Amino acid sequence: MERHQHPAAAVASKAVRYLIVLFVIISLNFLLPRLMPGDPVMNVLGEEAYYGSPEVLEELKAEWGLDGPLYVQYFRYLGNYLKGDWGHSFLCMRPVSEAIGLHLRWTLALVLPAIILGALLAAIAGALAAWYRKSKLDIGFSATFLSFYSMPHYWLAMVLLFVFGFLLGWFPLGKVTSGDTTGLAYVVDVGWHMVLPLGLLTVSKAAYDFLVVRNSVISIYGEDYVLMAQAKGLSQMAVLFKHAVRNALAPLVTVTAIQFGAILSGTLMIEIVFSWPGMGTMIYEAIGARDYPVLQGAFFIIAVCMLVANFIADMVYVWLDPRTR
Amino acid sequence: MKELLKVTGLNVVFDTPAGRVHANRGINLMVNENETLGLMGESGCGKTVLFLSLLRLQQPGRIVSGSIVFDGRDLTKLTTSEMQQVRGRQIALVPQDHSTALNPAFTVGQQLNEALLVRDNGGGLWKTSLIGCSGRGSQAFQEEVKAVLGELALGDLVDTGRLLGRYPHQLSGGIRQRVLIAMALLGHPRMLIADEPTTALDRASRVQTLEVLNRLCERMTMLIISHDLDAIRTTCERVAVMYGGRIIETGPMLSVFRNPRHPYTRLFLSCQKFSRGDVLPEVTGDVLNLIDFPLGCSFHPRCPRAMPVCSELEPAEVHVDDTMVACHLYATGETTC
Amino acid sequence: MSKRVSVGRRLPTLIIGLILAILLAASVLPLAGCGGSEESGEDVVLKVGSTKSYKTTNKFSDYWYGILSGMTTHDSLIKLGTDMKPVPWLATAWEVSADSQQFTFTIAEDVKWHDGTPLTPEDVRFSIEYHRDKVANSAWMKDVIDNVQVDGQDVILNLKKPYGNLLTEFMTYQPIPKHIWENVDDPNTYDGEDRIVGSGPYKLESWDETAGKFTFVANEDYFQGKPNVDKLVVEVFKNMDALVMALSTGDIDTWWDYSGEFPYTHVPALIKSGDIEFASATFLGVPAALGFNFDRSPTDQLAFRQAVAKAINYTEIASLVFYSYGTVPTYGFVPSTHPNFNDSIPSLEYDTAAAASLLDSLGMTDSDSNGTRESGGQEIVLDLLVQNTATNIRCSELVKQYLEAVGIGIHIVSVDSSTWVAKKDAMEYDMVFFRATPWGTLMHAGEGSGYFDSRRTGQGVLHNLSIQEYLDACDARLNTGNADEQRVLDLQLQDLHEEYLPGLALVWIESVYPYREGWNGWVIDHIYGGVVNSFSWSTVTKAGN
Ligand SMILES: Nc1ncnc2c1ncn2[C@@H]1O[C@H](COP(=O)(O)OP(=O)(O)O)[C@@H](O)[C@H]1O
Ligand code: SF4
Ligand SMILES: [Mg+2]
Repeated sequence: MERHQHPAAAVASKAVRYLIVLFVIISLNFLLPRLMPGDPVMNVLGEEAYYGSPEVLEELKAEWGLDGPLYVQYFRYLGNYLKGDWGHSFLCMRPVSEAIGLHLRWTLALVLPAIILGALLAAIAGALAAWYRKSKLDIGFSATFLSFYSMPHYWLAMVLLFVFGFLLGWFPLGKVTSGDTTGLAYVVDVGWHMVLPLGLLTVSKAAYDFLVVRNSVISIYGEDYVLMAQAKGLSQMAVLFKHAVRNALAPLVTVTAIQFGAILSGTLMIEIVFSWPGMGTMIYEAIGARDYPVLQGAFFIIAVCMLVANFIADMVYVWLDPRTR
Repeated sequence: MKELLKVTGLNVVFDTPAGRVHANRGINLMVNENETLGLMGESGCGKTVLFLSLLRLQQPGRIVSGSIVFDGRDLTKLTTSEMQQVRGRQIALVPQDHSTALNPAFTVGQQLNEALLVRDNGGGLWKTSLIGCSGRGSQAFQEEVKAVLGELALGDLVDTGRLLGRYPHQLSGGIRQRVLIAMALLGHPRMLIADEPTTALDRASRVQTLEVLNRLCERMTMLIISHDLDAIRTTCERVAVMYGGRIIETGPMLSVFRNPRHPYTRLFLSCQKFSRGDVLPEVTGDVLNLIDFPLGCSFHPRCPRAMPVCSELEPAEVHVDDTMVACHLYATGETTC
Repeated sequence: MSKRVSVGRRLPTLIIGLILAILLAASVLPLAGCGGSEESGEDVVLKVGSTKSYKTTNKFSDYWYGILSGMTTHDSLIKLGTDMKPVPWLATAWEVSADSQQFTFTIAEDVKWHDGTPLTPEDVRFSIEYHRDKVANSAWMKDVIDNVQVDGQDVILNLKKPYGNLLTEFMTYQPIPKHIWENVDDPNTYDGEDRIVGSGPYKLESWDETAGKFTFVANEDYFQGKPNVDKLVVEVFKNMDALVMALSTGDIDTWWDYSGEFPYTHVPALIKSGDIEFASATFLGVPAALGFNFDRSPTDQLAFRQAVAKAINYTEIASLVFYSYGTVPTYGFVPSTHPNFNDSIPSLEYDTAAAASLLDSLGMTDSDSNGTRESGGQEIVLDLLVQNTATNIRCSELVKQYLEAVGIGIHIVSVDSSTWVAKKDAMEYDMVFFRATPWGTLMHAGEGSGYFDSRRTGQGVLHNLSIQEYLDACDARLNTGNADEQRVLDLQLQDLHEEYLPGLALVWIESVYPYREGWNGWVIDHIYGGVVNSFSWSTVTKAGN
């Protein structure tokens, strides 16, 4: 804030870097169906179209830009991508952009709250564990989070579904909604369906963050300003959560940005267990069906998400640590 | 004159892998209301530990024995939350290093405001969280801070509004030091303890800070650690000299400065006389290791006047005129306290 | 100036607010568009779980919805009865001319589309032509159907050539309303809301893609009478484990998968849970089969194929891979529930001594005693192409063991389904694992001939047998509509399978169909797979209702 504006040059160089990444992703996407085993025409159009009549095939080739020399195809592809025309999914039977829009929001509905709740949980637990380090509390938290951290998400998801969905019957056996509700009841219903997958993602996100927060708070614990905060007459909790945790958040944000890809892929696995109609189930099916247009779109949007996450992390980092401004 | 602080037989230790560090050994110290006491001694002799012990912030060190009676209450016996009431509001600390004592993530305004919130609402997380706080309009806060900063001769130096929006790393050392003093004053403490308030400052800032301290000592009880004899001379009524975790001489400032009795005090003052306060002069010989003590007077390996008894018996504190000295040279046969 | 401070002081409030806003937004974000329906107390509701991937309610573009609609919202002219004979449906009667070139269907009267419009023979005529002209996978009709006429309630198909399998084919074609589709040029992309209108026992009330849920309501005006179940809900799961749990807890009443087999691994747990009953029937298809490449040596030699057939321990496969729900097949390929099953063909037999002597007689001996036989100095190591499903992999490992025991080296090539199709079409294999669906065994000239006739193409078929005798038999079978002639040819086709061994059924199985206790009167449909089918709608009842 104030006179500490981000220099335009820094923003520009960041933008250029992001554009290069996107360009590389789009180019890789272009090559993907053309390098994979099998006829690229079949890869892009799907088997059904392929086994159809030759005229239809030619027509489809032209329609989806599979005719002409490779460089022409490439530039046409690039142009289409920028225009938002990401091809047609023969698996989802709709334009790729539409299919992704439909699924992406459900994935984000898990990922975004999980990141925020996970960070909150980790901040609280990590700070307490650091403050009372080597106490029973610390050992308990550390052991719990470490074991969550080392368990495969997919497996944990199955266990949760079995225990809380099946044995205890507290939560539904997957899906996002029971489907017969509207308005507020719908929101409550979705919330109820979200509990298990969101809880699992939150805890597994927190499991890693916990260690980060704990270690940063321990190192911050020795800082003079923590001593000073105590000397001011602040309570232990105020010192911990205002002064120590605040400064442990910056590494947390960095870690979150780095981990974003892992969180996303973890979510994708969990979605299949919980019949969650997000990107994971879509990608899973698309791989099975070799629906390259969908895979291309998914890779692209995931790359965009990663870049956005990095960008936000940069911003938040600067906001959290005034010294970097 | 009313006695405000009386420390008796205070022992503070740190357990380290290398062994037990005896940072404070049987400290006896008394400060009267509205008096200013200067604490001197070479680096590592336990001054900061003593200060932190007064606030019970000596962790990871432990107070193993002794009492700290402040305004009639023994601080060593208070509960954690009672102790929190003392910090900032009864005894306020101006810390040793201004460059690390402010939280880099909060603005000066936020940190000053916090001191006010602690004074008015207590130090709880919710009450000081700025969400839970109420009733402190920013106008009142502004005025109070302005007044305090004015008192610290900062009013005209910088624009208050701008200063409050700044982060610590954006300020000069002198301003940071005075922000820390302002923060201490905002708690309306009965006693201010300042740990080397002028050491890490440039000459100009030191002069200004000294003026501030000068003015403050007129109206409140203060305990100042300093190597700066000018600072001590201008502000303090009494002085205490520490060596090896003990106080080896206390007395009225003029008396000790003109006629230092303890051999260490003499050496110390003669070294300091030629210094300007920015370089720390050293008494020749090795700084005392607080883990393995020599038997007898801890100063005897370096003492020019050491006698046979000095390496056998720890000297008791004896009163000589208006001062107290712990040295065998002044032993009267009977040990007094 | 004072602004700055107050912003500073309110900052944490803003942070908390922001977090709450994001959380709220994240959970409200996907809320756009949601279905609704009202509950009425006494309705009989049947909830069916499925793990298929449904995307739209366009029966032409969505394969799985197309099948689902075929037993709910849409009717076919005839259906395959439980006795494997055609039964009347929309067509109350039909007639095949002596030369099998003219088929006449008499359409039921007083049938209405879901929108109230009467279903007329003209609709049927239109539908046949529409499929022929516009629907990609009905292209075969172009070669076969010359013209379609309407005469009163009759719809008459005049064929270009005799086509004996037309009745069977027509069991999967459902007429569509002319007034809705006549202006639709590309059925695959038509997204009008009326695309779901059929004449069947159920109307599609809603499809909630995010919830993965179809709701069908009984058609009060159904020409065969309103079905017993008032409301049919299809719940879509993404994995079988969750579906089985839902079945156990009572969230769903039964399971349905077109031509799929309910995984035996889940059966014991369901039996233990107590509330689940099972219907069972012999699976009409072949869940695991071994095919041979006739373009490569030594699989082009009949004696070698026979040796392979003798080397396999079928009983062990049936018990180990199919949990004792399997039985040993015969050389005829298709199981005994098939119409015109040839019971004179012997069962496959595990006889390693016979296998060894057959191989010896081919000059394939293990002269270097390394455990693998040689042929012309070459070690015999064959590529076995396998789609990487759990059953396939387990099964192929066993087959590898059996064949190696008689000295035939096996290299398993385990790939995903698309690679499997590509390699299979390029004939890049010596032996291949495949499966025949119930409908698949009825395709073409029947008896599984669709998989072997070298003139066919398609995703799952081998097209490896080009012996003239076999092709002629297929043609003859395709050209006759006469039941007696059909029987003779069906038996012959099975004999030819034994004689030439284009493929081996490794196992026949008993399929199990779980459903919740309290439901009674199910009919088992061999084609649609289990208890959920058009016949059950009028027979199934729920105790207490
Ligand atoms: N956290 C600590 N752990 C171990 N020893 C300590 C710690 N803090 C201070 N000490 C020891 O206490 C002694 C006194 O330190 P201090 O009070 O800081 O000296 P100074 O007089 O320079 O302020 C030093 O010898 C130091 O080694
Ligand atoms: S006691 Fe002895 S050694 Fe210690 S200061 Fe006095 S004279 Fe020196
Ligand atoms: Mg110090």
